[in-house]
Amino acid sequence: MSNIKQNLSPSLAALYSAAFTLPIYNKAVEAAGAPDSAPSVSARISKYDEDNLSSGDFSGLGDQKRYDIEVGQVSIVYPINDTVQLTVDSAYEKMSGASPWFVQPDAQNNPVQVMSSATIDDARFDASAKLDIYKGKYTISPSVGFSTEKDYQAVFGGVSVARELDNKSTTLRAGLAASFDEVKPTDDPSIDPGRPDKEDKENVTGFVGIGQVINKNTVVQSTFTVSHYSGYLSDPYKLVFNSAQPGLRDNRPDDRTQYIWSAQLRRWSEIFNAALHADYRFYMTIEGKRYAHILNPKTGWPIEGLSAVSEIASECLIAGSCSTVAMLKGEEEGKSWLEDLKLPYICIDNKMHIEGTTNIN
Amino acid sequence: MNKILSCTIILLVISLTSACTTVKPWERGTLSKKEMSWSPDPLANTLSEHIYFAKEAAAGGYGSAGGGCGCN
Repeated sequence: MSNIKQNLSPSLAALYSAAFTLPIYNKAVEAAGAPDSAPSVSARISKYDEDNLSSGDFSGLGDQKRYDIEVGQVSIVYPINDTVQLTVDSAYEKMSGASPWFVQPDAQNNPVQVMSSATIDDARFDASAKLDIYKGKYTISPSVGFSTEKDYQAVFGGVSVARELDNKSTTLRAGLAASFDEVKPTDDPSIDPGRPDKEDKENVTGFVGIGQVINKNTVVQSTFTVSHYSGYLSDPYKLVFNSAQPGLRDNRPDDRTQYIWSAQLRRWSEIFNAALHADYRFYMTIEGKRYAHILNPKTGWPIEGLSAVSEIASECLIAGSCSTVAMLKGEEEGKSWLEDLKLPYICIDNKMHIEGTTNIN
Repeated sequence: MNKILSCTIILLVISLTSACTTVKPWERGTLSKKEMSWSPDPLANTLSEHIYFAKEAAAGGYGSAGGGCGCN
C-alpha cells in the first residue's frame, strides 16, 4: 500500500505555498441552487509510493521500483454575481519509477512481470474551468479543461444541466462531455522500434441521473452513464508475450462503449453523530468482456471464470476474502479451492450455471 | 443482462417510492451538513477518481468527465 512521506519536491512545495498566499475562506456548506456567499480557495497535497514489485512476481528484467508520485491540487471557487459562479481546478503531478512492460512465463511456467528501467520521470499538469449558471430551478454548467505531460495531451469540455423538482426534494441531472487526446511516446525508439510515433483517441460521455431526498436524514442519488471511446486505445509502451511472435504489441479494439450505473446513499446517524456513505458502481462493456469489481493483479485485466461467489463464514471479512480469492483463481481451480475450504458456498460461472454446497440452511 | 436490468429498475422504483417524505426547508439542517454531501472533500474525490482511472478498468460514472492521461 502507499506510504506517506514528509519531504516534498521544491516545485510542489512552491505550488502549495503559492496557494496559501491567496485569501482563504472557510467554505461552509452552501444552499443548493445558488452561488456560494464568498470566494474560497482550497489546496491539497498528496505524496505516495507504490509498493515495489514482489520478488516472486518479478522476472528479473528491468527495475522492481514502482512509481513515487506527488500531487498538488488547488481549487478556486468564485461567485461572480447572484446567478453565476466560476470554479477553477488545477493539479500538478510528478512521478518517477519503473512501469510494467509485459508478462512472461518463468522456468516453472508461472507468469512474471518484466519491468521498464527506473528512469521514467514525468510531470502532468491539468486545469479546468466550470461555470455554474443558476436560472430558477435550473443549473447549467459548461466546463472546459486540458491535461498536458511529455507524451500525452488532452483537451476536454462538456455541459451538464440540473433541474430541481418537488420543492428541491428531487434533482434531475443530465450532461454530455467530450475529450480529444493525443499520445506521443517520447523515450528512445531503439528500445522498442515498433512503437507508434503519434496516435489519437476521442471520448464522448453522456449521463442522466436523479437525486432524491428520502427524509430529513437520508438522501440517495443514481446515475447512468454511457461512454464511447474511439481511436488508439492501446498502451504504446506495453508489449504482450507470445513465444511465436516476440515483441507483439498491446493491441486493443479501436472502438469501445462502456455502460456504468452508480448509486450513492448518505444517511445521518444521530447516535454516532456521523454520516454513513454507501457508494456502488456497476460497470460493463459491450465488447464481450466484463469490466467490474475485480482485476487479476498479475495481468491487470478483469478476472475470468466465475461470475459470482458467495460464502458463509464466521466473519464477513473471511467470507469476502475467500470469495475474492476463489474468483481470482479461475473457474476450475476456484471451485476446487472452495471445496477444500469446507465452508458453505454458492458460485455462478459465466454460463450462469449454479454450483455449491447442497445443504445450506 | 435481463436480470441486471430488472434489478436496476426495481432499485430505482424503490428509491423513488419507499418512505419518501416531504422535508420542509427548516428540517434540512442535517441534509446540509458537509458530511452529507456527495463528495465532502472535492479535491480528495478528484484525486481518488484519477487513481481509479489510472489503476482500474472501472472508473467514472458519477456524472462528471474529464480528459485522459498517459497513466493507462
